[in-house]
Amino acid sequence: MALAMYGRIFDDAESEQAVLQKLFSPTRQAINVARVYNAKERKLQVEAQSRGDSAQQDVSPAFLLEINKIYDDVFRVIAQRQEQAPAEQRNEDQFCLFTDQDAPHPIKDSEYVPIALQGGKPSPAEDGTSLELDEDELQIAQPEEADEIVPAEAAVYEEERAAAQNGPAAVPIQAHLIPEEEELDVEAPAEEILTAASETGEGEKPRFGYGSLEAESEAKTEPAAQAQADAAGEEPNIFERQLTLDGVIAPERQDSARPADPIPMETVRKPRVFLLILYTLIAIPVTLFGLALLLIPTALCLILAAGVIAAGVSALVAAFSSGLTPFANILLVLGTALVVLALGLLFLWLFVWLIFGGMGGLIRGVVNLGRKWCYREVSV
Amino acid sequence: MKKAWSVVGTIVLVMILLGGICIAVGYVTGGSTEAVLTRMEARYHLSVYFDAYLHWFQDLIARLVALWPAA
Repeated sequence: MALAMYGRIFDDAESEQAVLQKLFSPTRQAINVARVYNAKERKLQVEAQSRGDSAQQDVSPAFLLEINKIYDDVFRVIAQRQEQAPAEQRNEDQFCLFTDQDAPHPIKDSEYVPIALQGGKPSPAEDGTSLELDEDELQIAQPEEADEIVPAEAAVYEEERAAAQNGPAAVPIQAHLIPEEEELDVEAPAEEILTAASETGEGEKPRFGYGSLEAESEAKTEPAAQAQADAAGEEPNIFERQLTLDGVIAPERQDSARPADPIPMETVRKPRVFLLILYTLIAIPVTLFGLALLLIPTALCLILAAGVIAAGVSALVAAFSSGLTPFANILLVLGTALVVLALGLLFLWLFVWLIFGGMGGLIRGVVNLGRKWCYREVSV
Repeated sequence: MKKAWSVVGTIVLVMILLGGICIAVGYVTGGSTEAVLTRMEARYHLSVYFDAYLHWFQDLIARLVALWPAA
C-alpha cells in the first residue's frame, strides 16, 4: 500500500525533487501510515464487509485517511510552488492540444483528454478510476492537426485508439487520462477538494491506492459487474475496492439492497483474577451472614405454619367428631378451622418464599455481582 | 414468583371469606361460643395446652429480658 502510494505520488509529480523535499523521509511517512494501521480493527472491518454490514462499509480506515492526507499535503505544496512560478517559464516547445481560446471552455464530464496528448502533468485529484470512453468520446481527444503530433505521442495515441477499436466496447483509461478541468483544480487547498468531492458523492473515494490497481483488476475481471453497478448509479466504496483487490470477495458488487444484519460478535469472558479472589474472600462471609439472618424468619414461619396448620386440621376434625349437636356450633368450628388453615397456608408460603426468594435471591445476587465486577468480555 | 403470590393470596382470601361466612351463619342460626368451648374442653382439654403455651411464652420473655445488658 505504501509502495503504491509513493509510486503514485512520484508518477503524478512533475518534480520528483520537490516531492522528496516535501516528504523529507519516505520511510518516516511510511511509519506514520503504519502507526495508524490497526490490524485487529481492519480484520473486524473486513469481516463486517464480508457479512454485508452497511454501517461498516461507509467507514474509511484510518490508515487510508492518513495516506490521503500525505497525498494531499504533497500536492498542495507542489501546487503552491507552481502558482508562484511565472507562467512564462512554461516550455514553449511542449505540445499543447488546446489553444488559449479553448482554455476557459467548461469541460463536460464525458470530455476526458489523454494527458499524453495534452502535454500537461497528470492531476493528483484523479484517483485512477477506470474511465470508459467509447469511440465517439474518443473523437474529442483527436487532434485537429494530427501531423503536428510528435511521433512518440502519436504512437501512444494510436495505441489507445487501436485498443478502443479492437478490444471491448470501451477502453479503460488510467490516471494519465484526466479531465482538463481537474488540472486547474490542483491549486485549490486539499480541504476544498475534499469538500467538493464529498458534495459530488465521492468523499469516500480514496485519491489513490486502490484506484489504479483496482481499475486494472476490474477492467480485467468483471467489466460486466462494473457496468451493472454503474447502471444502478452505485459507487463501490473503498472496502469493496480493497476486498476486490485482495481477492477476499468476488469482484461483483455486493447486494446493497440486502438488509444489514447485526454482527454477531463472539465474546469470551475473562476473569480479573485478583479482583475475583478478593471478591470471593469478601462475598462468602457476607453471604453466610445474610443467610443466617434470613434463617431466623424462615424457621419462625415454618414453626408457625406447622402449628397453625395442625390447629386448623384439629379444629376441622373436631367440628365433625366432637359431637356438637346444633349445626350452628359445627358451622362456628368449621369457620374457625378455615380461617386458621388460611393463616397456616400463608405462613407456609412465607416459609417457601423466604427459602427460594430470599436465600436464593441473595446467592444469585452475589454471584451476578461478582460476574459483573470480576469478569470482562473480550471479543474474539 | 408474583404469580405464586397472587395464587396463594387468592386461596387464603377465599378460605378466610368462607370461614367468615360460616361463622356468621353459625351465629345467625343460634350458635354459641360458650357451648363450643365447653365441649372442646371436655373432649380435648384445651385449657391445659393453653396454660402450657402461656407458661412457655412468659418464660421466653423473661429469658430475653435477662439477656438484655441494660436490664
